[in-house]
Amino acid sequence: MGSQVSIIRPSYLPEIELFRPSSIDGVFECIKDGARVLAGGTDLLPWASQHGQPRKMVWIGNVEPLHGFSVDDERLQIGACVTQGELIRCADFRRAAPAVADSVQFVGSVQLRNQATLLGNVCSASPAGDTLPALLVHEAQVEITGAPGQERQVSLDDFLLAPGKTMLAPGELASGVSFCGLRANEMSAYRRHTERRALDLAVASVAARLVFEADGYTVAGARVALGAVGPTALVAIEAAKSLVGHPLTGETKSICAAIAAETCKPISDFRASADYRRQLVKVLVEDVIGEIEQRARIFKPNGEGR
Amino acid sequence: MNSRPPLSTASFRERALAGARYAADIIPPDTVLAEIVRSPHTHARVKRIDSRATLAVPGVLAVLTAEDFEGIRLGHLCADEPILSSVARYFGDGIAAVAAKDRQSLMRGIEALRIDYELLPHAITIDDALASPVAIHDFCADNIAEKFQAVRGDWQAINSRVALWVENTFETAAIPHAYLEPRACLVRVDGKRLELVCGSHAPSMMADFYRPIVAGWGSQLEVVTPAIGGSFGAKWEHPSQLVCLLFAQRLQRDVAMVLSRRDDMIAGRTRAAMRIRMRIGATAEGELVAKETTLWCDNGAYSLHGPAVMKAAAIRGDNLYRFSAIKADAQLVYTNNMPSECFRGFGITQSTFALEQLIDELARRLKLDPAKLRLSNTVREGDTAVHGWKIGSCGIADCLDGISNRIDRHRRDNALPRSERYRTGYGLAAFIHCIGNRGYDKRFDRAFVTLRTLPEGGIRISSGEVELGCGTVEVLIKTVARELATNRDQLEVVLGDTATGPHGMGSYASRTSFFVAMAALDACRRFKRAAEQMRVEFGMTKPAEIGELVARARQQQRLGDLEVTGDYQPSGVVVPDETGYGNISAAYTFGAHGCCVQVDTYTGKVTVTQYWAAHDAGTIVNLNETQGQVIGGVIQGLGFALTECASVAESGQLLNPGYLDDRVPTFPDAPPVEVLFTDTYEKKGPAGAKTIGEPPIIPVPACIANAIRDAVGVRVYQLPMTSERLWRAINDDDARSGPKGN
Amino acid sequence: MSTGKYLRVNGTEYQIPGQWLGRRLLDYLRHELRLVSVKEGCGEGDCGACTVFVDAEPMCACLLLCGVVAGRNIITVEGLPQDFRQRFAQLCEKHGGLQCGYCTPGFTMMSAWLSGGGTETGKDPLDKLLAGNICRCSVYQQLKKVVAELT
Repeated sequence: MGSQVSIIRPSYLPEIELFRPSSIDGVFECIKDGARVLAGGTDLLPWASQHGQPRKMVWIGNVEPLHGFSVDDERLQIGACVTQGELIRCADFRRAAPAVADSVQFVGSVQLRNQATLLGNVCSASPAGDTLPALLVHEAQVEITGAPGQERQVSLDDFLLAPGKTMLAPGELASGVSFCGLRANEMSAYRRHTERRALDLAVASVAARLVFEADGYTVAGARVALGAVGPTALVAIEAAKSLVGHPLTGETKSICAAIAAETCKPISDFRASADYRRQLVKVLVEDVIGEIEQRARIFKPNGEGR
Repeated sequence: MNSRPPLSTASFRERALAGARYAADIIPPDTVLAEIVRSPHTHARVKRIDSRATLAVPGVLAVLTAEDFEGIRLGHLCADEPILSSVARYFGDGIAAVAAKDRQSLMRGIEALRIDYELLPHAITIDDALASPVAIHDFCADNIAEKFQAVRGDWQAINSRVALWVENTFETAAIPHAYLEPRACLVRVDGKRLELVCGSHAPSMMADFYRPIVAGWGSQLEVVTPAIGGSFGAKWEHPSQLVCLLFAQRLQRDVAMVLSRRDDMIAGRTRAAMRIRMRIGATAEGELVAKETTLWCDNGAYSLHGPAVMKAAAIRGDNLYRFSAIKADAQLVYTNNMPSECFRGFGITQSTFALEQLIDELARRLKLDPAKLRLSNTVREGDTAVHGWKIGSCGIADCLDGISNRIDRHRRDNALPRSERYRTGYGLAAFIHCIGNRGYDKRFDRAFVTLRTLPEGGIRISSGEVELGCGTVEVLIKTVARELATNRDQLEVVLGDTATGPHGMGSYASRTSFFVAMAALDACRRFKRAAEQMRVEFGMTKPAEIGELVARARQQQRLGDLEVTGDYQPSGVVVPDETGYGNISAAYTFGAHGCCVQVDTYTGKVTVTQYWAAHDAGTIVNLNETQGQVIGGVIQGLGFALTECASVAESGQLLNPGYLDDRVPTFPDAPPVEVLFTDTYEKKGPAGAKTIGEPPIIPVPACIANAIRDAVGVRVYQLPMTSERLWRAINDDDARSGPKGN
Repeated sequence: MSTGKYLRVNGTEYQIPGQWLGRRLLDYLRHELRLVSVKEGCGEGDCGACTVFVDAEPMCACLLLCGVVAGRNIITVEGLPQDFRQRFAQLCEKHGGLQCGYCTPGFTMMSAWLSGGGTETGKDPLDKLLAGNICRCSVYQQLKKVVAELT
């Protein structure tokens, strides 16, 4: 037996040729030239240190339009350069998308959130990416710019293909993400399991968004999404459907949790085994719904309790 | 270069002001940089190294391989670690080294290096290594690096006395030390003189070890110790230092190496993983009679301090209880894992995980209070413990009482709801520990402190022991300021400088504060004697101020007469015999810990909600620093208990080299720790003090395990006790039956 | 926005040499400016030892390229007000807020940020705000007292 794999490359950032265009056009020129897009850099730079590449990067922070960030009742629009820290500090954002706000606060630390962008977490497409299940239940759409002026919207569910893989084609830029804000009688939440309380990757995670009937208890609509239990964050369609038309009871919650646990596709790795991850999904689904119930009472339509 | 003033050791204040300088902070910008090139294979023979392309990279200055270090091996107890190896024995073993004028050329040079390997079968578990036909080292066909046995007492007689045996097998994990400052070193060269600047906890021992090697190259060596960003037992000799020394000697240029976090974890060392089969026997009334231990210690690829770690695990903890009979049988097994090394509370922390759970289980079976069972069985002042430890001051009873009271009060004041999902439980565990270890070095266990009156004024205190954050500088300044009635600002401390200071064994084995304080007391006595003699000679009236005297001495060029070296060697200690029998330490420390845990039975997640640590550290001299050591040790123990683990793939690859996946506790993970001290006075110690360094970590995993057992009725016999493992145990009917008895 | 070739560090403007645009701010501060209080503990943003302020917000200098922070205001421990540093050091002495000291610069920066009213949502527990700074000597409990007394 012989082998050609020679060494473990010492972990240091390679010499990077950095481009800093101030227009989208400029960004595309660099991309065409083989540069990788650098936004917050909290995923890309450690990766580059370990692998010794990419060595050409185009930083998009100078492109003014990519810093756009708007919250209205219908939809939130988040530009590619908006950091997670900026989002958390915005009370309107926290009110409009509680699950996403929950999830962002689990990412890294204060320092990292000040650097990392929301879209960066999306494009890294980690199966355990915290914001992904939350964005899925808020029906996120990724804005892909193929060339200057050529934009299309892709649902996040379609956008995520495999661990670290998205449908972003060579030469394309993910320029923003948009998602639904809460409407009347809606609430969302995100929970995860980690071994440590901070600085950890989710072993399993669950987000849910529920729409209630006017009675405040019967579920009129539901979205449930799961993280770290499949090659990508998953929408648990069947589990969500099981809640619709029923009031939230111990039984409906546990049915929903059981379906979610059955339908997810976890793997075993050094962080946890597949069957433990299923168990966590079961527990977390009930916990998240419990959290929504608690929060929803505060937001009852007649404003009682606020 | 010889005129460079010695590097004074950063005081607490300087560290607090971010002014301390660690090795990497001292490296001048134009220093030649070196890196070790590591094997991506777990076990492989190097067939060929092609460095032509590397040497052709502009800026690359030299390449070293195994041939350059022919015949040189690291290891105080068993010299078996090559500096660069022709056989990779673990994932990350160093194969070659490159030096270049800057980081960019260095990386290009490394990427151009071609190494061909012949892959060999590897063994990463103890069982595989024992069963493997492939020897990890040529000189060791069965992969057993060392064996250890001890038998004491009359085993025929005890059988009739033992009414109940409790027994189980426990496993502890390999974990990286994860000190925050990655390894770094700088070698300064001045002709034949090499000066190694690196944060080691045992610089004199390092110099002792390296000097003959460096002499073989025709050079001399001194070691300088800058501030050290944590060691916890890890920062002994390391191939990176000899690589830099040889590059510097050959290139006649200063050379530095700073490891990245990932490389530091891959190429670092770990706490030795162990499998421990243990049983203890007691009478029906709860008198501990006998203990039998069979232990396998994962040495990793190289021995380092493996033999000492194994022996400590096999017997040390036994000294806490009045066992009549002991059997220990231990094997140190080579595997293709990272080399294991000393780690705070080496050996005893692993075996206490087993012993203190069995004691707890015994108390349950006998329906005795676990604190009372311990109280009635621990050694007392005046005892000679089962392995020959002569017990002096002993505050274990107060520690157990203190913890027991804390637990009772907490239970009473917090009527914690017992839901189906969340369960609460309390645990307790105890320990004994030594202060230094006469058995470690055949020559002596000893410390020196030199006091030197400086021409420019003030006194320099030098020692070969170092400051790891435990307060060595403070101990020295306090002691000397008090004894010589001088101002603190007249005192400068230089630690770990082999060129200007005395020899030191190093800061390990919880010895430093005790030993340096004793040596400083001796130095102060000698200083006062010398000063008195000089006063008489100068015909000065009594009491002369030291300052006045020094001024006269300076005038008369007699400052040299005011340079003294104090010496401390504990009396009554011996090198233990080959079965580990003998009084190894001047005094012994004790303690008991307690904690309250909440277990989420649905996920197996354990939350420690309150922790109490009671210690007999003698009379407390520096309350803040002593308390700090306890709290820090407890939190490190919490990581060892619940989350930390070097995760190794079947291929042998380390999967979690970094803080993200090697889960050391973070800020929110730390539960409140209340620290209690007994008011013990140790007459052999400085001002009645004993020490604190290692002890706080020792009982933590067992304490938490016992609380988990109390909460949910099951145990996880394997560290770390992760959520998943506990969830499995909770859902496994077999696990509920507990340890096997007879 | 960062198009310039200048870095403002502790109030002084420096021209960034061209080859440094694609290199780490951490290395620039340590090697070029000799601001060695900024420590490298992990190089991956996990430990917080290299925390600096970028326009008054804490970030990890190991994950910032010089070209990305050009034109922005960088503050390191050396650039914090002297009276704050002294007060922090006193409180560390009082509470035992450090051991080996390697994490101390990062905690100093975070303490300065917190004492200046640093927050994310206005009601974050201290645990959450300091979760990005690892202390392997594990003096978290003591640091909590230091920060509580500072803020």
